Amino acid sequence: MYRTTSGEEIFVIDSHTHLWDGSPENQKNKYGKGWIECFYDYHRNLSPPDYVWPLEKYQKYGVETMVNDEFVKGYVDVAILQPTYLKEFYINGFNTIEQNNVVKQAYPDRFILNGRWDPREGEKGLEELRRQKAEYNIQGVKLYTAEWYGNSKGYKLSDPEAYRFLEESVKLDIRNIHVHKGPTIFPLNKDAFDVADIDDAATQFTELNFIVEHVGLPRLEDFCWIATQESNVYAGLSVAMPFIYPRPHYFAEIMANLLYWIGPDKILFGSDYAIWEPKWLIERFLSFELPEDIQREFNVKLDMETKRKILGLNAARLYDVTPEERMRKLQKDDFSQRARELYPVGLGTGAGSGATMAPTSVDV
Amino acid sequence: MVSIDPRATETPVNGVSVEQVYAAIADVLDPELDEPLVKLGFVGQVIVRERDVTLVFKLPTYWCAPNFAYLMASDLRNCVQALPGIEAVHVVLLNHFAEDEINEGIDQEQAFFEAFPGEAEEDGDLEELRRTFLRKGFLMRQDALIRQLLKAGLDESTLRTLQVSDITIDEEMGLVLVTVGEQVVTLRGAAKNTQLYLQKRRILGLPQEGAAVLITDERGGLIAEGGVQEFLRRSRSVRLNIMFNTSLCKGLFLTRYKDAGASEAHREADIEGDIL
Repeated sequence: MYRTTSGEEIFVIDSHTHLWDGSPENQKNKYGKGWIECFYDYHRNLSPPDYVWPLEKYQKYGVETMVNDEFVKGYVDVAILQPTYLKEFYINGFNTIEQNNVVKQAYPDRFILNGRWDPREGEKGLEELRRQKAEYNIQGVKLYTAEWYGNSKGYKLSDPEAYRFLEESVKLDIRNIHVHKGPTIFPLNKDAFDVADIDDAATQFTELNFIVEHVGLPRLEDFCWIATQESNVYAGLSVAMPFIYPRPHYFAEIMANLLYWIGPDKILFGSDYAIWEPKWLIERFLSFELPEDIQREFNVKLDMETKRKILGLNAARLYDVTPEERMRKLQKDDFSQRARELYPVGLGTGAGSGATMAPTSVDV
Repeated sequence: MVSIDPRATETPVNGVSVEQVYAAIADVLDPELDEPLVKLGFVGQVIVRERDVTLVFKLPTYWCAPNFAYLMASDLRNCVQALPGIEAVHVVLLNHFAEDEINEGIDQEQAFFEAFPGEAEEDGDLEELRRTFLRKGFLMRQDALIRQLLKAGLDESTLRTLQVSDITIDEEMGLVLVTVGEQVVTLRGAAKNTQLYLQKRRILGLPQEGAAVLITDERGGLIAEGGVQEFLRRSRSVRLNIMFNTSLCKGLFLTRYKDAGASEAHREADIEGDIL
């Protein structure tokens, strides 16, 4: 929760977080090393200097760091754990549901645990999905379509095998399908980032919600197009969000474009933790205003009401969380206590104060 | 893998010069960013041993899509090979997950599907990908041009009917002169973008003659009456996406190879320079 100086309380769901192990001990091959180093470049390329971690910490940061960064320092009420298996690259996987479940069990009201499936695992994979539902009662899955599996370098949601898993997701009432596109897919000569397969799946499976992570970047234009066609397609803001720091003008244009095409009710805040920390993202987002020329051109507003939706209310709706009730409950836990000690008075939002893109006074 | 001998001479004896090689590859584009590889800094080194040329080439991430990497590597090879008297061209992509397949495939002059057997389809190979990104590049250039024209005060109906012969590019001054009836409107800093726009039109096979309508969609369709804003909404998100990718890729390249933090890797002042 973020409390403003005027006492306003803002409910925050970080819809995209990880508890990963990218340490050298867990790396299976050069790809595991290449993966975490690439993540690290994203991290140091877009984070403010005070939020850049040493590589060793970044490779494996552990539970205490995560809960502190999210719930004490980072204003987050509830974090959604999105697994990324990468078992071809990491001995125990990069970020599996089992790893994530440890922290979910420790702090059940603070986390939403998502599962995953991979259509190439066939019958065994379906069985595993049923187990995830039975054991963890998952409401969502995160899919990485560029995941390697044996000789295969990825899949499309329009593949017949993927349909079987989407059907099973409907049956099991796993409604939220988060999709993350990557650089490889079969066939390798096609554009792996193309989002047309999500369009296809969203048309076929209207009972499911498709949350396209990274707002479809690097294919924003195609994503915007499908999101206007399909009422069950949502935008996950991870990766776009940190541009608010070094590239506020781009960020403004991206936000205005998203608000124009898909509206304020279908955009979800996500930090992609630990790629970026929620603290600085949220502070900057709350004080952010669209420049007037952009507001005029797109005829959209990024006001407090819209920011509240993006920061928490939209995700709460998808995951059946009641914000008021959950906030009251969380106020009693240790993280809230520590957050109150850290931020004894309310925080500025910059909203309506004429502040433009400059960070608020709470920023260091 | 091709090994690089750092002691190799960079001066020509009977072969080509390093400058000639750079001139030959100057227009090879990163198709996703629609910007030349040399300008992006992705070509790290050109080594010439008489008639044998080696190009060392690096990308912003270990995971850049292999199909784009292959397109760029094969374009580099083809451009150098077209120089007179060249005997061998090696393109060495470094620090990439598929560098072995790509470097060997380029060395053996294989098509992409041959370099990645079982992982790609023969049909069309990379041409569809190239075409898709040509169209996107076209829309981005067009979006920037329309914006400049509107900013210079052209009304929508003039814009819809402008002809190719109504514009003159002054490369030296970076200007574009637009003849509107009796008047001449000047677009400052628009020469490069407009040139690239016309070039994309040519490659897409759109009419070139002076009387052809300048602003059409990628299939030659005209803007509907009162439809400029609608037209721009589509091209705007294409332009935005390319600008976003360009800033991310340029920035990541600086972080990866020069340890640049956010403020050095991203300079908002470059925003116009990214496209225009």
